[in-house]
Amino acid sequence: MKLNSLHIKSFRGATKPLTINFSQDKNITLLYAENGNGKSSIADALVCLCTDGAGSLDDKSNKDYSFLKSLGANNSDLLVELKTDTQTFKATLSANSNKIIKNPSIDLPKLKALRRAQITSFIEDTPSARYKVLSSFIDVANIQKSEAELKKLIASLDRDYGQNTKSLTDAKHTITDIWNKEGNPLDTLKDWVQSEIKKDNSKLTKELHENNTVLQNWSSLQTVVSSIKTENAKYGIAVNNLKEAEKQLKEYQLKNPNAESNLLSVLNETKKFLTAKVAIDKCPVCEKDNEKEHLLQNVDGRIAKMQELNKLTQTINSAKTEKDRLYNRLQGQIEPFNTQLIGFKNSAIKLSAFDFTNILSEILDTNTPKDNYKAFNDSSMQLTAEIEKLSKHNQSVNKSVVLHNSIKSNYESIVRLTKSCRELEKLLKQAKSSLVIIENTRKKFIDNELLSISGEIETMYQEIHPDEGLGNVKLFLNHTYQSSLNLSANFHTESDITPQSVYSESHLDTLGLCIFIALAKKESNKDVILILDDVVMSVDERHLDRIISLIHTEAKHFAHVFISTHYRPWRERYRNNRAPNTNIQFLELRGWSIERGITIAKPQLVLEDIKFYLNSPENFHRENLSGATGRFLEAILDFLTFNFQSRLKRKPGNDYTLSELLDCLSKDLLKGMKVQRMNILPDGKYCNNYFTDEIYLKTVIDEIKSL
Amino acid sequence: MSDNNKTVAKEIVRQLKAEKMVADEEIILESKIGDGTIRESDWKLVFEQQIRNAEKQAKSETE
Repeated sequence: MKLNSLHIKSFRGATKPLTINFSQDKNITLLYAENGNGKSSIADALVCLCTDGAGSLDDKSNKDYSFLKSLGANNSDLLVELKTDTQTFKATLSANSNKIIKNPSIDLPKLKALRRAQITSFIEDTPSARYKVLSSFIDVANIQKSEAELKKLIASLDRDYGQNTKSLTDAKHTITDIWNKEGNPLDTLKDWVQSEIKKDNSKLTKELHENNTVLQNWSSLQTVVSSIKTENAKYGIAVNNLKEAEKQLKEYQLKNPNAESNLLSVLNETKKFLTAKVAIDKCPVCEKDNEKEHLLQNVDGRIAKMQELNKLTQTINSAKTEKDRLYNRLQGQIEPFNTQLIGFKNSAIKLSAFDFTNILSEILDTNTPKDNYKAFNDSSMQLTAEIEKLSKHNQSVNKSVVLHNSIKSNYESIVRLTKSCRELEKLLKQAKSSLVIIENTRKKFIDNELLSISGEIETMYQEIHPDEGLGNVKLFLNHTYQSSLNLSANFHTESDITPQSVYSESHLDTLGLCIFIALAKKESNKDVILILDDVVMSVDERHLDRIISLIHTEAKHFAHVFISTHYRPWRERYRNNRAPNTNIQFLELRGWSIERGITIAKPQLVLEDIKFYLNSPENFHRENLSGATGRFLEAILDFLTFNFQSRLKRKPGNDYTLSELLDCLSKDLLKGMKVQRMNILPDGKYCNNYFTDEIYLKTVIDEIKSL
Repeated sequence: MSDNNKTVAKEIVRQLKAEKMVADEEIILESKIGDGTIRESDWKLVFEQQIRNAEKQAKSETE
């Protein structure tokens, strides 16, 4: 991708439309301007168009997109338009200033921008913030998810294996205990277990079942018998109560011959009759005139006189009712008793080893329940004794059955668990070995990525700071914490120290710059636009040359490198052709004003000026040409006197005149100063060891001095 | 990010197959590891399959 032009309108400092046409044969643009003349506006325009960021606005605490538009402009006026050799990209501001609208909104040019405010942030940030910056290169979150699932499987298999092993040990202990309790029969435990599980236990199990049935039937029968006995006792009491009540009534009647219980009964009925009537005017028996109240009064009086008789009569009635009720209940239990008794007999006579057939011979289903009850009671003692015998015998049968079942189930558990443990062991081995492979592969990938980035940073850093005892920059993950990226470097005799603690500010600046370029390079497939917005401030001449050299070397990895600076020495490098200029487009901004906006000055590369004046007679202008050549000579002499440490009186602004610079050249230096015209090779580079012409400068300088 | 995961997943599966941890026939394992959708139960199935394969092979070699 090649950049053709950038057009910005009503965007920050661009109060008037501005278009930058990029040179098609140069992929570095250097934009020089004093502070406040619009450098960052141009860089921010590219950032807003190509990324989700807002450029230098991102460094402010209150990010408000409305600040992107120029003073006095409307939202709809704002436009950023970038034309490339393949497509045109546009950015505008939404009506409510809350977002930048891009067209197209996808497949925008890749852009990485570094501003002065960010330059050391990577170095000084926390390890987790630093990790975030590099996460796109080293993050393997999906692999870590897959790893976590495998770890879950291992934990679950471990748990199952632990449980199964414990169950297996328990089963083995149980079976050994049984063998020990049995007195260690046969030669070995194994032989004994094998012989035990081969035994047919069905007969014993059947016998146990039959015995249990008889014992359960007996138990149920006993419950019914016990209930009958209780009810019978209650019934006996009720019969006695009735007899006693009848006896007391007889004794009362002997003492009170006139007290007829029948009369009392008639009187009670009469009272009921009278009470039910609303009104009465005659006695219903004699038909003499009488009133209801009078008649009732009479009847009540007579009943009162017979009160004791009344009470005795009521007692007899209650006792009769209770006796009848209990009788019915008793009768209700006789039939179920008989059914259960027959059931018990039927189950018991199956047990040929016991004497139930004989003992229960009188109990027949053709008998009345009463007869069977009697027969049962008659044989009760014998039955109880036989049941006790059966119960005792059954305990031993039960023990044998339980023992056999326990041996069998424990043996089956041992077989099953041994198999399961073996399978789990295999799975665990497989899973654990796989986890090691996955973890190692992931770590190796990250280490390699970091090593590759570290290597890039180191190479670049050494290009800027050769033989300074610095560098060996390493980025590495702190495996103790998740997503934590550390940084170390050498400092003279010390290695693996944290650079931010001992490096000077300018060394940290250049380290930050190298890290940023290395990361951008890693992401670039010659398709990233790299923006360095005023990133160099405090470097000396030698380091500035190396930074320039580094940027020129690395520019080939990017679609375009856009540098903005207010650092005058950088400008002078290009203006005076002291920096490589074959791949760079140099732009300089004029002073900004609201009326004029951002404006680009005519390029002022001294050699190009000189070439321009000498190209044709129409362009020739003696004063301009001598001014340009004078500035060029001053720049060359400034460079030579600095590098050859010529004696020069120091001045605050280093703004030496031509005569001061010429006078300080030593004789030896003057003698050696010459210009060689070198041949140009087919690839466009100069041939260092072959030149066609050579001019010694002493004569020229002497002539200039004598002017 | 996705490229990182794909790259690492490819290498992981290559090594797992080389070390006979998973069956050579596993074809979706790589994408499942790469996109992080493999689950505990999937891992189990993958290993069980390989164990069965190994047992079959051992059996056929014995015969």
